[in-house]
Amino acid sequence: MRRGVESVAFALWQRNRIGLWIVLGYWAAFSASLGLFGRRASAEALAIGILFVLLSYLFLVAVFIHQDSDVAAARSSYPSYMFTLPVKTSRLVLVPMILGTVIVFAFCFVLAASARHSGANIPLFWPAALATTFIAALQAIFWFPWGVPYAKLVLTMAVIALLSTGTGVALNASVPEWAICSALSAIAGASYMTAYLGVARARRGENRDIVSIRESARVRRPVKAKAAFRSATQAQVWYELRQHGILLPAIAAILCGLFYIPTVWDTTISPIYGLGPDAEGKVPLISTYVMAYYPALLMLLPCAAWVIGCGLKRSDVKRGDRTFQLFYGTRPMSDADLVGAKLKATAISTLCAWAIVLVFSLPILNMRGGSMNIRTNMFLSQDDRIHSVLAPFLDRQVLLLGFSAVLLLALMTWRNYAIGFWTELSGKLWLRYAYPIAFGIGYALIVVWGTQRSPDGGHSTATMFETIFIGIWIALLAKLAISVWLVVKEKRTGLLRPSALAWSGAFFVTGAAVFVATLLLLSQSLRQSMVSAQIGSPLVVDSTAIALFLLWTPLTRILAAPLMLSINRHRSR
Amino acid sequence: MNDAVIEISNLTRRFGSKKALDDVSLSVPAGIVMGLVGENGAGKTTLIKHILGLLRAQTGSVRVFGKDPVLEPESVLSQIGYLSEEGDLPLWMRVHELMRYAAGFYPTWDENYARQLLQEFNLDASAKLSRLSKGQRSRAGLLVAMAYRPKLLLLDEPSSGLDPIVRRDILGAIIRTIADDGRTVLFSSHLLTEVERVSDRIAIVKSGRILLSDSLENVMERHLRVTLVFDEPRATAPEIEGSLGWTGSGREWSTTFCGQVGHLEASAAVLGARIVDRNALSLDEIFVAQVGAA
Repeated sequence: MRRGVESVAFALWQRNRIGLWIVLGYWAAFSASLGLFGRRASAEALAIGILFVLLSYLFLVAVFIHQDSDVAAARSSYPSYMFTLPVKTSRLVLVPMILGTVIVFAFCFVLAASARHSGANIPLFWPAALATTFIAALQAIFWFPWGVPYAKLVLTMAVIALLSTGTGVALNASVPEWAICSALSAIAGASYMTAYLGVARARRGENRDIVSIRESARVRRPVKAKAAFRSATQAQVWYELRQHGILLPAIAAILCGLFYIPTVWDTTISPIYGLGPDAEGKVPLISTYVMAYYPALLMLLPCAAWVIGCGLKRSDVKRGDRTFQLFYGTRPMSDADLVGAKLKATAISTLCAWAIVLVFSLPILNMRGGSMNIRTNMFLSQDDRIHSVLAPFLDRQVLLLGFSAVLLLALMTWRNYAIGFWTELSGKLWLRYAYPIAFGIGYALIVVWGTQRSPDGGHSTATMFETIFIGIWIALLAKLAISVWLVVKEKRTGLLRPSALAWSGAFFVTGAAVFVATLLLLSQSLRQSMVSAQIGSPLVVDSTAIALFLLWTPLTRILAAPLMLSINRHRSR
Repeated sequence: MNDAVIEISNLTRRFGSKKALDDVSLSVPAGIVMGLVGENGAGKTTLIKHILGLLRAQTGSVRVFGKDPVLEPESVLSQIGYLSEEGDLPLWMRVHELMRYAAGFYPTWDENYARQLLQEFNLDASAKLSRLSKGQRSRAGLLVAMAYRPKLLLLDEPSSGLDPIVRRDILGAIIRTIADDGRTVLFSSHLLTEVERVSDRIAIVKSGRILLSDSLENVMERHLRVTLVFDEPRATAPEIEGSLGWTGSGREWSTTFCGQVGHLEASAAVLGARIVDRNALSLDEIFVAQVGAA
C-alpha cells in the first residue's frame, strides 16, 4: 500500500524534479532573506522578489495539476499511464493533491511569517489558504472528464474570478480570517471530492464527450463539396486557423460573456473625468463597474494571445522530443511559408477576436448612464442611455484616441501571439524560459549601470533617464544587427526568397509605422511632461520613444522563426 | 544514364554516441518497387526521414529527384506520397476536410481518383479521423498519399499492426502505383512475405549498414541452402567464402550460401566434399541468415 503512494509521489517528483528544486530553493532562500534583511530591503528588490514568488507559484500550479493533455481537451487531464498502476484511485488523487496543499500552504505560511518577522503587516493564514484552495480547485477542474471541449478553460476563469472577488469582498466586509479560511477549506474539500469522482470516472473509461456522442449518433451522409483551396498557402492558413486560431476568438467571446454578469447587480454610476468637464462643468456618468473593468477586459486579450502564442497550444510538436509531428513536417512547403501561414492565421484570429469584443461591447452603449455638474456636485440625469450621454463629448480628438487605443491593443494582440513562435518552433523548451530571463537580466544591468553612472547614486532622475535612453538605443542597434544577420543568413540558405523578403519587409515597415504613429499619438502628454521635467529635449525624448517602440516590435523574433523551424524540421527523431 | 529517383551516398547519421546510419550508399532507380527490410532499430526509418528531408545529412549526401530535400522541401515533398507507421494525421479533421486540405498542396490531385479510393476503402467522408480505427486511419492516410499520383510513394512500415484486409489494401496501392508508368515505391516492412510479393529490389539493413542491395531475382538466385558430405569427419565447421553459417557435425554439414554455385562446387571439391542437397530459400530465411551472419 505504501509502495503505491510512493510510486505516485515519485512519478510527480521525477517529472518536475529540476523545476521543483529551483522553485522550492528560491522560496526557502527568499523567506530566509525576508526574515533576516526584510527591514532593510528596498521596495524595488522586494517587488522583484515577490514577482518571482508569483511566477514560481504558477509553476507549482502547473506541477500539481499534473496535466497530460491539452487544456482544450474534453477528457480528464490526469495522466492516463498512471491508471494502470496497481494503486487505489483515492491514492492516485490524494497523493498529488495533499502534496500540493501541504507544500504550497507551508511555503506561503513561512513566507508570510518571515514578512511579519521583518515588520510587514501581512495576514498569516488566508493567503496560504487561498493559494492552496486555488490549486485544489484547478486539480478538480483539470482531472474531471467534463465531456465538453474548453470546459476546463471556462471553469478556470470562473474559479479565478470567484476566489479572487469572493476573498476581496469578504476582506472589505471585515469578515474574520477564520471564517474566510473555513470557506476556502470547504471549497478545497469540495474540490478534493470532485477530483476523486473525476479520476474514478476517467479510470473506468467514462470519458465520453459530447463530440463523440454526437458522432456516434450521426448517420453517414454525403458531404457537400466545398471550393478547393487555390494554393498550398491558403490550405495551410486554413489548417492553422482550425488548429490554433479558434482559441483566441473563443476566449474573447467567453471573457465578454463573463464580463456582463456583474452588471446585473452593480447598478452604480460614476463620472468619467477623462471626458470632461465641458464649459458648463458637465461630466458624463457611466456604470462604475464598466468604467473600472472594461479596460481590463480589453487588456486581457493581448495577455491571452501571449499565453496561447507562447506554448499553450503545442500540437505541432511531439510531447517527448519536441520535434515536429511527421504530418506537419512533411508539408510540401518551404520553412518560411510554413511560418508565413502561421503569421497570417494569427492575424485573422486576432481580427476575429477583436471583432467579437467590439460587437459584444455594443450593449454597453445601451446601459444606464447619466450626467452631473461637477461644480455644483448635482446630478443632471441618471436614467439616460450611455450612448446619448457620451455623444456630446465625442469630438474628433476623442474618437481618434479611442480608435488608436483599440488599434494599438489589436497590434499588441497580434504581436504577443506571434512572438512566441520562434521558441515554440525551435523545439527547445529551455529557450522559452532562457530568453525572458536573459532579457530581464539585460534590463536589470541597464538600471544598475544607470545607478552607477549617476553621481548621487541613482537619485538624479535626469541621469537615470539618460542612461535608459542610451540603453534603449544600444538595444535597438543590437536588435537591428541581429535582424540583418538573420536576413543575410536566411537569404543565403534559401529560407527567404527575395519576393517573400520584399513582401514581409513592406508589411513590417507599414505595421511598424502604424504602431509607432499610434503610440506617439497616445503617449503625447507623457512625452511632454518628460520634456517639462527637463529629462531630455523634445528631440531626445521623441526619438528615444520611437526607438523604444521599434524595440518592442517583433522584428527579430519573427525573422528568427523560419530559421528555428528549419532547424527543428530537419532534426526529426 | 542516371535515372535514379533516390541517390544516397556515404550517408552517416549519429544520435549522440549511437550510429543510426553508417556510410550508407543506395540508389533507387525510377519505376521499381524497393523493399527495405531490417530489424527494429536497424535504421530504416532514419533512412526514410533523410529522404523526406526530416533529417539533415551529417556526412554524405541525399538527393531525391536530383534535389536536396532539406534545401528544397517544397519541390521534393510535392512529388512524394508518404505514409508512416505512426499515421500521425491531424485527428481533429474529418476525412473530407483532410482530402480538401491535401488537394491544396498538389496540382496533380485527382478528385475522381480520390472519390474512387474513398469508396474502395469504405471510408465515411464526414467521419472525424479521431473516431476512426487504426486501420481506417491508415486507409485515409493512404488515400491522401495516393490521390495525386505521386512520382515516389514512401511507405514506412505501413502495414505494421494492421489486419490482413488493410494490409491487402496497402499492397493493392503499391501494385496500382507500379501500374502507373515510371512511378517508384520504397517501402519498409517487417512482413517479408509482402516484400517478396511486390518488390523488384530489396535492401537489407542491419545496425545502420546496408548488408545487401540487389534485385529480388538475384537475391533469391544467389542464396541457397546446401548440404555437403565430406570424405572424412570434421571436428570444426569448414570455411567456404560466401557461407553465412554452418550447422552439422562429422561428415555432414549444411550451410546457407550466398554467391555463385560454381564457386561453391569448386570450394567443396578442394575440401574433399560433395553437394548432396541444394534448396532455394525464402526471403525470410535469407533475411535471418544475412542478419545472423552480420
